[in-house]
Amino acid sequence: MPRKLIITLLLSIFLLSSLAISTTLVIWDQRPQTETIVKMFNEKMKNEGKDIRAKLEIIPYDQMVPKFMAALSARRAPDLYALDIIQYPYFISIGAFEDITEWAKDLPFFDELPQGMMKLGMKDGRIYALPFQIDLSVLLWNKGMFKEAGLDPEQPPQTWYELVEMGKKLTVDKDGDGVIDQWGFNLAGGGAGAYMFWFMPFIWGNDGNMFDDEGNVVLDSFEAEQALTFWRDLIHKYKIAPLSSVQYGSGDRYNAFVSGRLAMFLGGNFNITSLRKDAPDLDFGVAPIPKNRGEFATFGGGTLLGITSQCNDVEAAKEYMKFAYSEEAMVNAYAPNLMLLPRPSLYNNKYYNEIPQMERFAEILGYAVTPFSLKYNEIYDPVLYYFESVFLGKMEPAEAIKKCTEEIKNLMSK
Amino acid sequence: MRQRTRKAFLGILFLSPALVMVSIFFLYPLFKVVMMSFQKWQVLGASEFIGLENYKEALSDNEFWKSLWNTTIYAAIVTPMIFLPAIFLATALKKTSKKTKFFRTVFFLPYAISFVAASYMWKWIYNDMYGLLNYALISMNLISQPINWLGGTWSARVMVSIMVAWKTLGFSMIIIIAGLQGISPAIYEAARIDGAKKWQEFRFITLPLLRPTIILALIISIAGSFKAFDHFYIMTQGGPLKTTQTIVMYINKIAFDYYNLGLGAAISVIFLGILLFISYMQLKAGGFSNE
Repeated sequence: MPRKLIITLLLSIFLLSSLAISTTLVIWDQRPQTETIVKMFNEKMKNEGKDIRAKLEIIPYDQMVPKFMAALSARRAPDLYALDIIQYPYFISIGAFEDITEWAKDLPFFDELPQGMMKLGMKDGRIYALPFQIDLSVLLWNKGMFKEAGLDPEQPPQTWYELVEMGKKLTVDKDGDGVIDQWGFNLAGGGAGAYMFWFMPFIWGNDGNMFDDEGNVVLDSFEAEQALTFWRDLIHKYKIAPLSSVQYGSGDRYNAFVSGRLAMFLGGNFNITSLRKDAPDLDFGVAPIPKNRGEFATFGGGTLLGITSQCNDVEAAKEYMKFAYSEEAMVNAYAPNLMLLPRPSLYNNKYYNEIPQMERFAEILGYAVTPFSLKYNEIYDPVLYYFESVFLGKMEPAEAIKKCTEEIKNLMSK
Repeated sequence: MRQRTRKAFLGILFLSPALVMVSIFFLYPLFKVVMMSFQKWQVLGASEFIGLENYKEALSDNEFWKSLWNTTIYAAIVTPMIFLPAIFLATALKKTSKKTKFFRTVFFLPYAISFVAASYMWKWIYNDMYGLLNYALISMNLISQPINWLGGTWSARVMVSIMVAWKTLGFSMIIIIAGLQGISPAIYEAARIDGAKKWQEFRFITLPLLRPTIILALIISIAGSFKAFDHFYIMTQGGPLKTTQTIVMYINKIAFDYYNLGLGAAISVIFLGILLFISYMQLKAGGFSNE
């Protein structure tokens, strides 16, 4: 009798304990800082007596698509995924994300989320994901070098013309041996992703575009051709950027900037923390990418957060999502590392306020544009080939833009 | 008879852990890839059987042939760059002593570094703005302007191959040393008594007896070269103008950038066939076919 009792007791304890936490949300994210949000959320749920817990799984950037595809096929997708923004249109189109339109529109902070990036999480007017972690392309400049060149260290170039004029003064052969020791500028090369992130703002800043609002390819324009010509000329005509920078990855440019061989650097908000660590004495500023005949523009990269269609408890996932966007969660988890938040109203926080370089990001976030395409990854191929051909001086911009547009149109119609 | 069955059973028993692992992590995925290659694979929902369509598409894609060509050229460049020094070093370091042990370790060490770390390191060395190589060459007045080593198709191929040779020749060297040590000293002694010269010893004793070892090391090395991915992905991103894009980079792009897993699987199967063919030819050339 007592043995039976003990067994029954143990069994019921076991059953109860497994029932007690009825929902465990699995969250996929590239950034380990999200762990802070997960911990805070679990604490909150415990205090409120709710039986929801969250668990974070870090997915490396290179693995974000293969892992997600494998998980979806095996019906083991996470409940929520902070996936790279440009991957969303495709995954929404195959039904990998949950429609959250009505719920999202009722969120108190909905209106302040960057609209240019919101589009990527939408299909036919319905919302599937919201801008979550933001990466913006910007221009960083070395104030010390500006001073040495007789330029105002607080005035970065705002226009293409100024970029060239300042770049000429900042490109110097210091010891007179015929080798340039300090370059004014570097192209952002080393892949189509880099061209999209740093070169597209030049097309936008010249009032051109790759796709119009309906998704038609409109790259074949005078504005785009002029931007291509401008970048080529930075190397071949004005000689303020080395030819090798056509193939420079962001790491190469970063090293050049840190080692004092580059005055103006196409980077992003993600460079600030590491720059302050790697080069504590380097006095640098952050500005929007120079424009020509259009308005300032920046590539709105980063992630959107969405609830996947294989989520078992959508209500619990919404509860997590709402918390992840709260001031408490965002500022404590992301602001200390100077990661950019999707809510401009939170930019006035103690972490950003300490860093002068963070000053202009709320403004720059307003310029964010993200190209929308179901075949975004596929357009990389023609973009890389033709743009690189121009920058290497192997093809005329007019011809390249025409052929590139043709190929993209072909891809889109397939 | 019973003894034999028992022995066979024991053999299978000892092999079973390996068999299970190979089945789960190699045979099953291989089977799955072959199946996928005949399908229009859908991430969500039912996939459709489309016969040889993926294979047709792969074989009619110019980029497939270009990537295969790029990979072949690379393998042709890197293989002698690994083997000639490896054979030379192995011959020099085949006797075991304190000194040779030290140098063996030195040459083997880079093999222990991951390709990713080595690629980043050499990319830095080759850089034209702050790299060590250009700095050294300019300081020695050998060149007047820094050279963009990874900027040209051929120079990128050669410079990446140098990195790979630096990293992997230690491994080939160790295999060849093992082979050299397996050759009985009595044979050399007999040859010397017959008046053979050093190079004759090398040509008529060392090389023929080393053939199985060299073939083994060659297969490992050539198969490895054909599977090149990380170093080109990091050092050249397939550039300039896709001329250093390898076949595995191409597969990765088709499957995971273009979400076309069926086509990616078909190219992988074709690629597997090519690798098997090359290995078979090497085994045949090495005289393994009748063993």
